[in-house]
Amino acid sequence: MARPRVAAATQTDRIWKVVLPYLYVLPAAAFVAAFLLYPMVVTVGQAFTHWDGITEPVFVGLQNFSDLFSDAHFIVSLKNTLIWTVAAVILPVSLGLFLALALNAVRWSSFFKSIIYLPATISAAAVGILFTFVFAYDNGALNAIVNAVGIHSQRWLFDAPINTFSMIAAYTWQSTGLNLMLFLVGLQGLPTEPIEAAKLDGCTGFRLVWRIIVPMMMPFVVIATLLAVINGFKVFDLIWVMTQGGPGRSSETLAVTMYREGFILFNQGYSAAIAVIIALAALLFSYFYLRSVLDQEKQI
Amino acid sequence: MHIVKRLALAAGLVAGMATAAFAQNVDFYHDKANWQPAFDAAFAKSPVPVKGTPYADTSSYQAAVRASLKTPSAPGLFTWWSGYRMKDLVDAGLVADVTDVWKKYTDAGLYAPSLADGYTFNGKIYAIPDNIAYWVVFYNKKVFAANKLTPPKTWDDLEKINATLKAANVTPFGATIDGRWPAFIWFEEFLIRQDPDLYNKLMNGDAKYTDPGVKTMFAKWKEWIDKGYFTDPSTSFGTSGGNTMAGQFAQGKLGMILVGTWYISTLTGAGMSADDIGAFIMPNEKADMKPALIVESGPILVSQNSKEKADAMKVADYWMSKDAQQAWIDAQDFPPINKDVKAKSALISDIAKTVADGNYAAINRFWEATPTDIAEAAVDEIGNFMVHPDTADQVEQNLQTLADKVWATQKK
Amino acid sequence: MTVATSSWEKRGPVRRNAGFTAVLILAIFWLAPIAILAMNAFKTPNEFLMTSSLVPPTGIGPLFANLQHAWMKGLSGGFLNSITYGVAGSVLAVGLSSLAAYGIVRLKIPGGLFWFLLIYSGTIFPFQMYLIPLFNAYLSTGLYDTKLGMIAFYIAICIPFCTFVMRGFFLTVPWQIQEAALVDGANSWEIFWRIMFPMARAPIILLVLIQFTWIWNDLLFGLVLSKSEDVRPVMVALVGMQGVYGAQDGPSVIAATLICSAPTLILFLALQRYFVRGLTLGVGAK
Repeated sequence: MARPRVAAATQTDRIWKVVLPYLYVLPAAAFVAAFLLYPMVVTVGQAFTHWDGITEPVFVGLQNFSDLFSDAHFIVSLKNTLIWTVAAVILPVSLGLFLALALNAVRWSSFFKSIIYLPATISAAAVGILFTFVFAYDNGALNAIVNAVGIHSQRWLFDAPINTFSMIAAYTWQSTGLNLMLFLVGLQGLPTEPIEAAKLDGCTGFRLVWRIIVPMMMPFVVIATLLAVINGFKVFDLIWVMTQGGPGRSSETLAVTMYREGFILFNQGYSAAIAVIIALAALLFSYFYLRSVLDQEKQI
Repeated sequence: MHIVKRLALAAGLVAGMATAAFAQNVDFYHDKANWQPAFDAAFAKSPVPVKGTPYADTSSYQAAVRASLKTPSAPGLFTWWSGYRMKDLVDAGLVADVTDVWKKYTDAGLYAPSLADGYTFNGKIYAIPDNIAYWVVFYNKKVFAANKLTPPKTWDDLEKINATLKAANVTPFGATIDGRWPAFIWFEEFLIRQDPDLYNKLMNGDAKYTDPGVKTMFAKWKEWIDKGYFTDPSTSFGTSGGNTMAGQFAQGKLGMILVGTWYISTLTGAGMSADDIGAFIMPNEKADMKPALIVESGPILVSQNSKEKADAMKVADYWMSKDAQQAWIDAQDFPPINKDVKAKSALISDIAKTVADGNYAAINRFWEATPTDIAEAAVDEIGNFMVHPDTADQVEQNLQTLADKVWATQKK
Repeated sequence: MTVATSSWEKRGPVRRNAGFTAVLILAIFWLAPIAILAMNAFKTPNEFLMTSSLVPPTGIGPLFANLQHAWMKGLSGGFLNSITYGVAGSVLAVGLSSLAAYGIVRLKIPGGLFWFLLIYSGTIFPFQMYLIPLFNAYLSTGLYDTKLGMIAFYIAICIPFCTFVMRGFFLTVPWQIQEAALVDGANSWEIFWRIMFPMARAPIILLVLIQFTWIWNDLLFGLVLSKSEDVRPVMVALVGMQGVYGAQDGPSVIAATLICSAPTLILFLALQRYFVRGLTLGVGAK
């Protein structure tokens, strides 16, 4: 029944119809593959070599990995990363949630929202410089305040583990804003019926927030937490500008150690091995994060 | 008319190409952003134009240079670090031999041959000197005058100065681990004032960090820390943003800073007047020891693989000449190394004269005198000591452990 | 506006004012670090050296000298470069990501989830992983220290998140709109350009804002992938002012930090009303 001319047209049409969607996706995919995925694969390959950047790489199998776990500095770095992962997640997320709940109830909330979010607009390097001045031992703002109430000056950036916590404070200052925004979005989207029902039952004020609203926010809390964990792994600029991982490498996290081994000591293979470990951890959390997001979408 | 026009055009093109060929730049990479104007002044009369590229950050600078050295697009000239820090580049054949450039100047008696020691490997010289710095003690003249102090001639004099300043509520010396590397400053100074031979042996792996001499040195350091002769090690020094040490020095709360002579511009740049700054060389612990001081010598290297290599050699030769060096010294106020060149400030001129007249032995800095892997890791350990002075024994052992590991893999 | 408000309102004016005061105090403390630092930009270098950083400046004049000093010390090149990178990078990334999200969600490309995960995986790994291989690849392909190389990288690094958000948005668009357009004879491109893209105004503005900010604030890749002053981004120029070979005086560094932080701050203040809307639509909240 089909005349040859029409048949030919529908065939190219069909091919075109199949290929077309790919054309939409390919540019983005190509960029990501070339500039991000390809280097990642190369790094994974480098993790199995010894290489100093100017001579030829030497294949050493898993030796970098076994060296890592017997390296005292790596263990310290791992510990610090753990501290960061826990503290730098709990603090910004809970502060963000708390502020979202509080701000929702006061006047001028969008003004305050902007103020809290402001630090997120400036760079981590600028935040690092700022807080280096704040935490300085001599002539630092924090010590001046602390002295005024009669407490001895502290070496905020020089005693471990206080230095890690000082940096986490700076990081919290910067990252609470994003969590705040996320939770405000969530709050605004909550269904009103369950909450009205609870109020009719006499549940108000603090109990309303704690027993009803927060549990309803749980999906957002989960998403924000997982996002914060993944971002916590990546923190580098802040630490590098404030303490360079010191003193005595006491405040290094895995990301800092990776940079140090790669760019200062030129142990590229060793550095790549650390990168692989960070990647595996990030992959794990990203899996849970994505699953959580995709599940949420299914509920819509 | 046609043909004439065409010929003129062709001639113009050829001429244009020829001049283009001669208008080659030599790329000069460095990580000292603030020195670019001074470099421009020094290279003003260079036979080949020099284009400087100041990198913003030292570690990415090192990575970028190391990676580019293998390729023809390597810079013709670049600044680096002497001693062990350039050894791996030399061993990999990435640096050009400049022995002949030196010969011209040492034969004419313009340069002391010993200046090339930190750049010499297997009898050949692989770098020309960018700057040298003497590591001296800068002191605040007003503070000294107020306390009726004069520069010390002996170690006992120095101890008296410390005690006097401390009693007058002025911190005697600046010490810091800001930026990690400054930790070695006092380590090397204490050691060479006590026993320079031990220092040299230690740098080359012929002595141990756990030797009794080193223990004595740490004990002396701890004694000074306990007496409160040093600023808190967290005091910022200019390597990362703030410069509290310069502030304290300017305000008269800090009496002396042990640092390289290049720090003068940091102090004046931060707002202090050059007239208030004096300098002396730290005395040896025992009066019968030969005079010596730490000398830091920053080199400029020529890339072996660069396509600009021939031109770069010409520029290297020019750099060592009086024209370039005088412009350089005038811009920077560094100690002059070409004997025909005069120092800019009286302060530097005096120090240079003292060093020359007293026949001071030049000892290379810890940072370059010992393998990089040791130096980088050691400053973290020494920094730990400075923050917790009672951990000297543990620090010594840690230092030895890492030294053992590195020497085992080094070809000596 | 929402549920929590009504319960608070019942609390009465005293309770409410107490809450407001508490938040106000928090806001003041929140801004304190920036305020203290900004204050020091008004001091002359000598004044900064001689006084505590908490002491107010004696005049406002020195600010202009400090700003000028900071600008001349190499910040100017970096500033303009970063504007180029920020605009080109964010706009192109958002554009390409919208196309990709459209293809995955609306055109129901086979293996759509695979493509999405492929693109999204670019943001999972710590960025430092990409550093050294990218550096070497850039050197050997001649992209090192070129504006093109910088823009290309910034586009690539922004795509994953943008695709994630656009996908979230496209999921919320009702299918009837698309079907109606198809009936009217529109092809896939027309549907995208005339319908989907304009609808996505809020998430798109949000994304351009966020990605411009990210690109503007980038330090690490700017450090590693560029060297000369006509290519390096602004944060690299800022960091170059520090250190013993840098600009030396505190107020200049602070003034420079302020200059560098201003654009993203202003951008956020100008576009904030799109922020929450865009986030809402993009995160796919109901």
